[in-house]
Amino acid sequence: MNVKIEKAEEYAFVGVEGRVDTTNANELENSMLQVISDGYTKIILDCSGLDYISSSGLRVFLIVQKKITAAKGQFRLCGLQPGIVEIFDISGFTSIFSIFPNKEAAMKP
Amino acid sequence: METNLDEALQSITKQADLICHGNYDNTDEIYQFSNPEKYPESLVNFVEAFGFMAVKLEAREMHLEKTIEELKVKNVQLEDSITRHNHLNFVFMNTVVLLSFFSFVLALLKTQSDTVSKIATTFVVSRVIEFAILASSILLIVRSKLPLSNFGLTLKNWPRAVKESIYATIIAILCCTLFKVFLVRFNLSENTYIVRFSNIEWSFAFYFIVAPLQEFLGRGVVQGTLQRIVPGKYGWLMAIVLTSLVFGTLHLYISTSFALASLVGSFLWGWLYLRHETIVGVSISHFFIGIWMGVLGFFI
Repeated sequence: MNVKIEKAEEYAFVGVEGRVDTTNANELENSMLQVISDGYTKIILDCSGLDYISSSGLRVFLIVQKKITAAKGQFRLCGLQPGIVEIFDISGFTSIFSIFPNKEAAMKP
Repeated sequence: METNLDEALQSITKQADLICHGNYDNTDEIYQFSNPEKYPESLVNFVEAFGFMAVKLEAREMHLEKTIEELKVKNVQLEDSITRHNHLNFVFMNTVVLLSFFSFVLALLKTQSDTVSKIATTFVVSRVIEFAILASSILLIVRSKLPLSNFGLTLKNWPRAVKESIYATIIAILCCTLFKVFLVRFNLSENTYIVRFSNIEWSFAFYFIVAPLQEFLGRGVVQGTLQRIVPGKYGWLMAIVLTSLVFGTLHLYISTSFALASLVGSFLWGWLYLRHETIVGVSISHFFIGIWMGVLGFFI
């Protein structure tokens, strides 16, 4: 897994690539929580490079969503691969996350 | 291996119990057993399936919480809408009663030939109606549980409201005086004087109470309520127009020209009220313009 973070004025962009599973879910969680600690409550997570996500990875998404909702911020996901969308549909994540086709769409207010 | 399995089962059982109680905080504990480098495939698959189920449950709860929050907001909007609807009912019913009662009184007055008796009856009936409407307005305010400021009973912005109303009153008085000059000059007036201060008789003393009372009922209760319930970009304008039409109609018993003057005055007070939403400024304006209308002889 590879995590890239770009911090802009309003949004923080996090790009995740590869596989998110038990072995690295903590790393993603820590990266995301660090962004929130830095004061960003509007985060766009680019999942276009995400190939696989396990339940532990899904849980990281839930934790981040809870934190951002509590801070009245926005957590937006974009560029989900069809396989990831299927997992999101089965787990019910599509009804609780704001999902956009790409980064540009996610940045629109 | 058996120890690992036993440990994993104990951990999953503990987490299952916590999840049943709505606690997802320590679900991460089980994921240590889903590492394929350390644990057998069957255990990893089992933990992953359990973890996925836990995540799905948590997501469902989050979705429910979100739905409940949305429903709460909708409920507040619905309650607000019901309150607005009740206010509209109140204003509509009171206006119908008021106009009907006034029409009957006018018809009754037609049967009286004595002018003094007519004026006295009209004066008494007007005050009775005003106090009846005041009583029902107080009931509305209490039942609505809205702050008094929503009905213009506030001192907020009063210095600015008074200042603006004084300027507007001076302009209105000048316009009325010029109009009277025009009427006298072209023999269109029923009387030949421009101003007569002796017109101010005992009944004008009531104006200290009547002007603020009428402003509270007209602007504070009727216009204020209509401003809140009439939808659209120009709801405020409709509120002023509707209030002014009722206000003008209620002065028809004096004369048609006086009703028209009241209508114009009501537009002015409606606009002033809209700006500051306090009856302080408009009451002062109403008082002075009303007195001056008497001085100009428009009441007679």
